[in-house]
Amino acid sequence: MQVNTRKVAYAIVLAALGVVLGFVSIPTGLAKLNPGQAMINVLSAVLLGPWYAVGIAFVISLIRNAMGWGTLLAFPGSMIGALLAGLAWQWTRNLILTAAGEVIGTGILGAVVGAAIVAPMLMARPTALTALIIPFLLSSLAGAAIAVVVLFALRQAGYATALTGETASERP
Amino acid sequence: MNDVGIVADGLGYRYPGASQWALSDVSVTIAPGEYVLLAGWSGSGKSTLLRTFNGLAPHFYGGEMVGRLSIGDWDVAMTPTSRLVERVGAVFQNPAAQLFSSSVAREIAFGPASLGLSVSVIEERVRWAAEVTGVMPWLERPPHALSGGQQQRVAVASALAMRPAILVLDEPFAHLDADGIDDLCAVLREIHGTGTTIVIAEHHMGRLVADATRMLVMQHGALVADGPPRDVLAGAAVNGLNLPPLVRLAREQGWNSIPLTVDEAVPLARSSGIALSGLKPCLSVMTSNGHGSASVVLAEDVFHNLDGWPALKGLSLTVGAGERVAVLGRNGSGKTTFLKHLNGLLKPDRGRVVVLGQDTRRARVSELARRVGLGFQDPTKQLFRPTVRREVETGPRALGALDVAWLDQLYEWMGLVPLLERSPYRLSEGERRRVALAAALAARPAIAALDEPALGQDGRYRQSLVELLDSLVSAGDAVVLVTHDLDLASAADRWVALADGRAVAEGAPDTVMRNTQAMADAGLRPTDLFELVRRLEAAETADGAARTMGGA
Amino acid sequence: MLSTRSDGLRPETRLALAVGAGALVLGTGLPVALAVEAAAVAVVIVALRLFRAWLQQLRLLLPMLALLALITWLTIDPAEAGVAVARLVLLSAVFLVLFQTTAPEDLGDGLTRLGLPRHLAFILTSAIQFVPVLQHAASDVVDAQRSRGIRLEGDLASVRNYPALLVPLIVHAFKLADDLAEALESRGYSRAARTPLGNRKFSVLDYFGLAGAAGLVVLAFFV
Ligand SMILES: Nc1ncnc2c1ncn2[C@@H]1O[C@H](COP(=O)(O)OP(=O)(O)OP(=O)(O)O)[C@@H](O)[C@H]1O
Ligand SMILES: Nc1ncnc2c1ncn2[C@@H]1O[C@H](COP(=O)(O)OP(=O)(O)OP(=O)(O)O)[C@@H](O)[C@H]1O
Ligand SMILES: [Mg+2]
Ligand SMILES: [Mg+2]
Repeated sequence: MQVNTRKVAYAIVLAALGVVLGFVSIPTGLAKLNPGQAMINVLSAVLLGPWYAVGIAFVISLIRNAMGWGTLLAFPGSMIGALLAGLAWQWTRNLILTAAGEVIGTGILGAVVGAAIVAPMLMARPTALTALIIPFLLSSLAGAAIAVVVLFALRQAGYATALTGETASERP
Repeated sequence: MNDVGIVADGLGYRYPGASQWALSDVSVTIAPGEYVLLAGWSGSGKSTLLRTFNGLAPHFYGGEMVGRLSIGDWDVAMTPTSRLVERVGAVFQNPAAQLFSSSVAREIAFGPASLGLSVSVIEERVRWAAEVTGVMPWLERPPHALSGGQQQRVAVASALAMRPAILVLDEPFAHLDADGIDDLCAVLREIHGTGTTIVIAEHHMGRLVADATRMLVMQHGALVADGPPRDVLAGAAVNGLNLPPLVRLAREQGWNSIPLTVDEAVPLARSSGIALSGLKPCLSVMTSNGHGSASVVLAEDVFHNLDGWPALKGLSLTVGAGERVAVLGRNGSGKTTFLKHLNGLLKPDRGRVVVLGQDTRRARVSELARRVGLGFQDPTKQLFRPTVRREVETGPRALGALDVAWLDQLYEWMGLVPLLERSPYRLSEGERRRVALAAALAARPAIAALDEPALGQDGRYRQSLVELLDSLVSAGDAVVLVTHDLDLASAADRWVALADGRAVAEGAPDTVMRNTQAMADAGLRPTDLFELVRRLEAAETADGAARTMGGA
Repeated sequence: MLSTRSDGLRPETRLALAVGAGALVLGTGLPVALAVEAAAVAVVIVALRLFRAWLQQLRLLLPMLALLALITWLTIDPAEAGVAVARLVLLSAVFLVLFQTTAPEDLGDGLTRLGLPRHLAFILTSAIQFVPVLQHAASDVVDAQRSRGIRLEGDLASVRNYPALLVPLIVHAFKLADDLAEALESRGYSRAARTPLGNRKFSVLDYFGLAGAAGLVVLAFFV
């Protein structure tokens, strides 16, 4: 099998960055938002494509869980978000739509799936955890918005031609 | 002795999308077992040449390669890197990026495992490489928990364990203290002794000029000099490089041979009849600027724990207005930790730090940042604006201290004028470091505190840095300089040697260097110029004694 | 030397045991059974000297636990809230034991043999090593920006300045990735025949372990 060493290296570093950014939270008064994971989803979707993005989301969730910094609920949420963002980028090459993919994937689908699959394991009746949709949605909105701002800043700074179209594999 | 030579014939290479050739028409034959020092200005193509040896350029980077390059009987153009690694081991500049395993043993084993060797052979290789490089005691530790110097050795061990016939190293000395450099040099001598070919690119040539059997100089992608180090260093091709001070002295004085060590320099200096008084000014700045004047920094018995590690243990230190103070010491001795106390990023656990009359514990970072400019060890970590100009202006704007005339002057000093409208990310490493340095000084602080400002720079820029520091102090500002490079530190008025979070000596550079106990404690080596002066003095005294005796 | 910390059971066996124990915890409905399981987990944690690591985990888990308790309390009842919290705490503790006693690389090896793509396992184990590296880089960036007067104190007002933190951090991460790719390539990452390290044969102990894991899953249906 032909591996793309550069993609593997980017995946490693983006996953580690995702774990680290998990510590950055925005206190809003109501709840703390963790936009880091959403941002990494958008970033890896754009740089590496949908499958790597899903893998990275899986790795981040696993590490966060392993180290006690995350919950099992993060798995479905982040992985679905990464997949949708990756597909949106692959199909449209549009940053805003990619960010929207992340918000829909993590904030809505992820939360619903999380509530539907994970919650019943923890408690007798699943219904209530649909309330999770709120923090998930807020976090992924904030994260996706920050990702867009940062990606534009990166592009403007002339860094990473990858962000203007091609993915890391095709990068010079 | 291995039998794998390197033959380049009209080798050219250009990165994808680049219009300039990073390498052009390089023809050189390196015999098995040579020890080659590769020198050249920043951006001259040293790293690129090393990358062609194991095929990273062109196979990994893409781009275009012309001419021929072969490693033994393998043509690089036709051989993938995954095959070339059997013959060429590589160590790159940033050790942290090369270590990715959970233990040092696993790290060293990764290469041999790639080669598909059996587990028992791998274990044997790991043990051998760990022994040669002295990393045995840390085999079970995770690499990222080691210090920079220790990591660098693990990176060397990891390359060695693949038993390459050729080992290439790209600036392995950056960030190492004197012990680290000496140890690494000893390792290289030892593996060179076993017949391994070594090719090393370094700005900090120091002892390498004595160890290497051959020196190559690059300029704009081409080889402009080739020969034994002594001959090459006498030629014009090395102009503008960061030359070892003895070499610079010999060239300035027009000695008929270039000394590579102090031992060699003594007879040359004596026969050339250079006066001791002529040497001393380049040894230390005698005019002790501002010492004794009002102190702008006063650190008293400062203690500080970083994540439970006692980084400062009772450090006391003062800096006067208009004074240049160099803070020196081993890796991990607390230099950076101290600098971060100057603008309140860190506050003392015990003791106090007073900056311009203000106790840092009672001041906010944003207040102190206005008056203390901090230049960081890896300054490229702060760049985020689309142009150099906006990058440099960010700080002063945030602090409400934009002074356009000062900035223009700063751009001039830093050689940034032609780069102002370019993206900081599109610059060479050396240029980016200069942008960050300008950003640190942009708010026209009264105290400039700089961590390794000359790292990775060639000789031309070092000169203008020294001039900049001079003009800062003559305007009454104070400079705190942190560095491992004592030749650069010789531009300071006063040295403070740290060991283990405490000051063990302070005074004029030559006073500190005469204090052998403190120098040993702080892991410092006297500069070659200082050694030379001392040997000349001793010889002069002996001569004097002999004359008196003869006269009697 | 090469098998690092994980002596005894193979990583697959450990993983199976953790999954089995996790299934048991999630399948347990009786509060009494939960208490017994909690006692068992506590014994394991104390025996393996993981108490401090567990406390640390608990502290970080606290907000999530509170949210879970609150929602369950409001929508179901206090007893169910207690059960849900207990399950989450126990589940986390079980996996804490797994990760604290198994070197990440061994776990990656194990997962690879169970079908996880080799490169994903490698990404997992290496990413763990780069967490502290990037943590360090992040704090360097914060220090550098604060030193020139950019507010990054972690409050809402600082959000505006997030690009000043994130852009340099991401660029630094990209550089790190480029350097890492170069290093991986230079050490033969893309070669086909890699010798697997730290591989142990299945021992009698492993069969007992696997049987135990199966037993735990079966038990989950009864409690
Ligand atoms: N990855 C890259 N992509 C495109 N151009 C590059 C790349 N790396 C280096 N270059 C360019 O190739 C030329 C040679 O660079 P190289 O890094 O080989 O110089 P160097 O001699 O190692 O410099 P330094 O002493 O600063 O490390 C420079 O003009 C540089 O801008
Ligand atoms: N044995 C050790 N254990 C833990 N931390 C250590 C150890 N040695 C050094 N350190 C680290 O040393 C640092 C404190 O030293 P500081 O960074 O101020 O060193 P420095 O003098 O600037 O070194 P360098 O020359 O490498 O830049 C901390 O980052 C601390 O984590
Ligand atoms: Mg270079
Ligand atoms: Mg330092």
